Amino acid sequence: MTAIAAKAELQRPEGDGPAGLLRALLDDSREMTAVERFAKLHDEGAPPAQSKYYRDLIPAGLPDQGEQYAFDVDLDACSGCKACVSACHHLNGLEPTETWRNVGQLYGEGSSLGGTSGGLPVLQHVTTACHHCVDPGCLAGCPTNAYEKDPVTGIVRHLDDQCFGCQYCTMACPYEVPQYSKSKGIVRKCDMCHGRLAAGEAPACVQACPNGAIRITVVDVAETVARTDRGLFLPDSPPSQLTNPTTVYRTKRGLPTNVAGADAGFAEPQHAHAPLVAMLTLTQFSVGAVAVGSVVRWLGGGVGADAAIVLGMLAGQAGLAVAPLHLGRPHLAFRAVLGWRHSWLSREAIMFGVYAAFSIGAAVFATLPYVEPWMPEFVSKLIEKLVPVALRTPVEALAIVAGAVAVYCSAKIYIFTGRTFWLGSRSLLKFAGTALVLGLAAASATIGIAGGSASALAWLAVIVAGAKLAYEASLLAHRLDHEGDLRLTARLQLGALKPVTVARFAVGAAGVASLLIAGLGVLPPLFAPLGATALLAGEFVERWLYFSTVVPLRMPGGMPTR
Amino acid sequence: MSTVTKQPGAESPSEKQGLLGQLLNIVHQKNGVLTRELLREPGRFGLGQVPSRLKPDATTDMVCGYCSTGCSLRIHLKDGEAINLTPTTEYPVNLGMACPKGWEALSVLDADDRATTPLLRTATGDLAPVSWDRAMTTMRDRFQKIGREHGPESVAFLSTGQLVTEEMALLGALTKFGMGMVHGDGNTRQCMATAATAYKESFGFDAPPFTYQDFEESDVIFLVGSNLCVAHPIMWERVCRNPHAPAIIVVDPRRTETAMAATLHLPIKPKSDLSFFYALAHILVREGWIDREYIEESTDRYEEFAEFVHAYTPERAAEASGVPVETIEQVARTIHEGKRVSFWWTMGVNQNYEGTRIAQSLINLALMTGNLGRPGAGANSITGQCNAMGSRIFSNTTGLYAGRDFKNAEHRQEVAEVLDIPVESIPTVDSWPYHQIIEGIRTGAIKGLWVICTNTSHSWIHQEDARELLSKLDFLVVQDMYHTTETAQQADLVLPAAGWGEKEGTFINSERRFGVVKKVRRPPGEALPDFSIFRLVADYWDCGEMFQRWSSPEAAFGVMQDLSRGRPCDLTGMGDYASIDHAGGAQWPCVEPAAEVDQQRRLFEDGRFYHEDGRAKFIWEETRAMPEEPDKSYPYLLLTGRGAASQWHTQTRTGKSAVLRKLYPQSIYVEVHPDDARREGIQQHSQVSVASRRGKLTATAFLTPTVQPGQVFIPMHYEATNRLTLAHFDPYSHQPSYKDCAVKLEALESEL
Repeated sequence: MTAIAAKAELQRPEGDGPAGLLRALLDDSREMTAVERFAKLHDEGAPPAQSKYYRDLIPAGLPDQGEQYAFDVDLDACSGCKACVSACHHLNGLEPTETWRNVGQLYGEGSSLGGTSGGLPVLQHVTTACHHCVDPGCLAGCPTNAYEKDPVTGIVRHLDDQCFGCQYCTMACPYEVPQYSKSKGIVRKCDMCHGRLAAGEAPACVQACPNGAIRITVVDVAETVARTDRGLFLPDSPPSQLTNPTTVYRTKRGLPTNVAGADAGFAEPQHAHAPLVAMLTLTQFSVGAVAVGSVVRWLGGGVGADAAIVLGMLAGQAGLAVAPLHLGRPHLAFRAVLGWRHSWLSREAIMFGVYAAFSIGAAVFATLPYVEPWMPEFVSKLIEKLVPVALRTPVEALAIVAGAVAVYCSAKIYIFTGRTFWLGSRSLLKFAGTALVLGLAAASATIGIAGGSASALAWLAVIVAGAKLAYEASLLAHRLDHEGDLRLTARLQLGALKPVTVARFAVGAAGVASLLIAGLGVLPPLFAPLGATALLAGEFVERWLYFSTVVPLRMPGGMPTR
Repeated sequence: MSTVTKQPGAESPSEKQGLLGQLLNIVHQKNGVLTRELLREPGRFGLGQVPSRLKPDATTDMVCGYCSTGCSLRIHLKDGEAINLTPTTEYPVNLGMACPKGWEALSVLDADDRATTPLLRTATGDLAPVSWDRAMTTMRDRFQKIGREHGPESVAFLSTGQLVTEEMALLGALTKFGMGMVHGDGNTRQCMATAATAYKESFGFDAPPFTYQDFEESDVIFLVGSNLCVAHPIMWERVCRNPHAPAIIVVDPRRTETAMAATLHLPIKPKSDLSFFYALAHILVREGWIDREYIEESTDRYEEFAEFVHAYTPERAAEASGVPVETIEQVARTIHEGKRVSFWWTMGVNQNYEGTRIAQSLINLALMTGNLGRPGAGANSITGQCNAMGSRIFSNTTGLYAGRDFKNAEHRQEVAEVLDIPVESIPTVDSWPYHQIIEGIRTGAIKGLWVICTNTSHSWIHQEDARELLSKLDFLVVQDMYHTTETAQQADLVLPAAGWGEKEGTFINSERRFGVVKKVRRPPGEALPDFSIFRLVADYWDCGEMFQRWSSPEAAFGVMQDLSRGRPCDLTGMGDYASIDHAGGAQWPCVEPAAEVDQQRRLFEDGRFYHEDGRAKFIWEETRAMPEEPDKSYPYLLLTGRGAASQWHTQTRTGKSAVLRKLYPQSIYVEVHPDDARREGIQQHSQVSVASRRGKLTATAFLTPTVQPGQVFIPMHYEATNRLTLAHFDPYSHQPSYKDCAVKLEALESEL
């Protein structure tokens, strides 16, 4: 019999039967003994034990001028174990479901283009985290300046306490790096374990890769920009021209260009962002109504035109009021303007602020003639002195200009993301179209109710709304494409979100039909407001689809879960 | 911690002062509650920086409880309890690395479906919480009633390769010597039985001869039916550390991660293994590329074997395997030219109706070329579960302790003496293997079953049949960490068990290394370590007296050492847990103190084997066709296997970690070759029906050229997979052959 540590022996109470044993066993199971029996002694002065494995995987010194730190991934060494993901999670103390690193797969038919694959099929795992881009989309997009690119290391850091949770960076980053935490109301992301690097330690992922596939290197910024501007980054990944990612993926065995992510061709409905749907639709409605109302007034319109301006102003206020609802920390909404130098979101916030002032002014001018008769004379005189009627047209004109710029900023926010469904005219035409359709429809409704002749406006609304519907419908033809994100968007609209798509076109068509009836002028004027309401509803649904059927840019992922 | 030099951009956050500071802070807040949540600071204990809120006050090391690699994890403790972990830097197995399962080992202990009290099936069919006393009394009364009516052998048990060795040993003694059971087997039947049988027949003892250092010393590495990168990522780490630029030859029908990393991938047709490896032997014989001296000194029956492989020509192998003759010739030459050739295999060989002979076809290659007992050589079985080896040697199921034989009177006498029990209490016949126990339910021979730490209703081949049979039992007891396992859901009584990290004991890894498991967490509710549950059962069964010596896991380890004395797996020098811990694990045999023996030891360095004549045997057999070849109605061959490194077996644990769940597809999928998909009208990522003659499932199609045309692959981790599999077995090891049955595909979604 060999030596047995006495501590482990269970002392059983004498003569107490199975119940006594049970009690003793339960007590024993609650006793923690590992420390006293096995705790390790360590040399407190020594460098971290793991440093012997990662010493060669981190740079010896700081980057020079024109250089920065970058992840360097040896694809040949990455065997797909994903230890980097869990190590990052545990060594950074992340939330239970939070991960800052991800591993996707590229698959491809064999290629005889050099390398060792020798015509056999290709399976390549790709580990990815923040690429600490030269021109980070998150940083450029952030309205609160919650991102900083360290001037020395180039590490892109997120200031968690500065963030107000607008989640725009989750769209502006082409690599799905910033992760939003609902419970915290902010996003967080990989910081390349900057404090570890500063202390001469390796980032968690570098420490944990069994095959040393991830290292930190110093890269030349200009060279990185030149390379990524030519699109040289990784097959089947977002266009590297967007942000100039610094991560270097290297392989000696070669990677055929025809490889595709395991999730290529897969799309699922995205978050619809209801407050943003409301905000965009209502503010565009507002700008349209104020603009059409003003123009009609300049052309001699009456009560109906004034009403359109007031209605437009109110819609704008409502739209701006709901906007903060999508913030994780709405009490910090004022920070939205801080990033005006780089963020279209800040610019949008500022321009809608300007627009709000002028549109309120225009609405005041529109209202004054109707309330003046009830005012004491000195009040109306005072008002006339402070805001002379001569200013009315300039105020309206400025409201239109500010509104148009604000809507343009709104569109730029989404165009900036590089997502195909949001590119160029697909945002601009839609946003401008919404403003025009709803402006015309609203004005035809108010003028119609006021007893004026709204036929011309109704006809215009019918033409523009019809054209917009046709433009939106033209996207569906992309379902037959062989590849590309528009194909996926079209398939989402005809697949998982078919009821929404049907609703969009049905309500839109109903609106057009109603206004057509209003334009013909044969039936009571009720049809203009009815049509305008239907078109407004239709635009809400259009915007819902705009968010929920976009295909985000992303790194190659894993086989999707269905 | 060494001195910390600070860099720009790495300043420690400090609150801004004053009114201006507060104002500035509102506009640009660099610090605050949210920032502090992610602060890192030196963790001491040689750890480097750790999250500040998870800073330990002590650490201890223990082996991981998933696979047989046997990595050591450094547990970060606070007030005696585990709060985090990192892989142990110095451990000779994993050298500071771990796979995601290891990193996540603690989080799965917190799952909300942990069994916290015993659960008893009520009259209305629900599982309702009961006291331990009620549970134990019911279990005893029901099993004893069955025993009285049908004989004690009508109650059986199914155990596991996931318990600590001490628990397996106590369970084996309790059931067979105390409770009178005859039949008990482990889920190791599903993973390692083939390797164990092959070694026993060839070497005279179930003795994997290698040490992991061999991965680093080989110049030719054969990996057969092993996706090492995914199934054993840390062993792959050792291959990557090999400084000799080895030839890595991967034999696998699928283009796996490991195949990608190989210098040569041989995508042989499924079940052409024997033809292929016999052809290699054929060429070696033909060319005289053999180690004549080794053959003469250390082996038996070479000449007959050489005669036998004469018929297995490279042409025949090329025909069977689809690998060109020139490649086969070249592979044989690679073996010949290699100085240190190692042959490694795992489930592709083991879970195969010809598995034992295939394993031996590799052993034969090693023997005839003298590639055994030398650094970087060997015919090496890579084990599955963390303690499959413990189960093979000490579970007292199909073999008596320490590789003994129930039918051998001398062996029974030895065990009776060590345990101080009447020799008559030791059964004189072998236990039935797993599939005969299951079959015994059908015939009425088995009426009561105790399932410990395994998930038969998910993992057993031809699942529907297995489930139906389990439902026929008079009384089914399931002992598990989770009350939600498919098998627990069928149980009459569920016993709540403590998990890895909540109890003590040892695991034995692939390379025969004992490692210590420690108690670093409190089990939830009234869950008890399996060891304690067994002691409780003994007490209620009124045979507690028989197990006086088994007073604690460490005491049981002492018993095991005594049982091992003089056996090939002699542990008598290992000392106690602390000495194993301090030695960095200890490989058997170990007759000297653990701290004084070499950390990397291999067997058979003297060319002597465990057969009475000291020689290893060449063993062979004609190859046989698979019983259910694909045909017109079921045109595809279904392969099953490991999905991702973050998945483990039936997912009872890995399914409980939010991080691991992000690392593999949540729903079942089937890999289909694009050509087959085109023919069947199956779109990428669409839903398809996969049906065999036994069952049917719906899966997401994943079109990939990494499976060959005519074959489909479904990971084994999804519950539905085994609805399809065909119950057939290796006749020697009785291991189920999971990787060959015919299925058909049907597209369930058409193009938009």
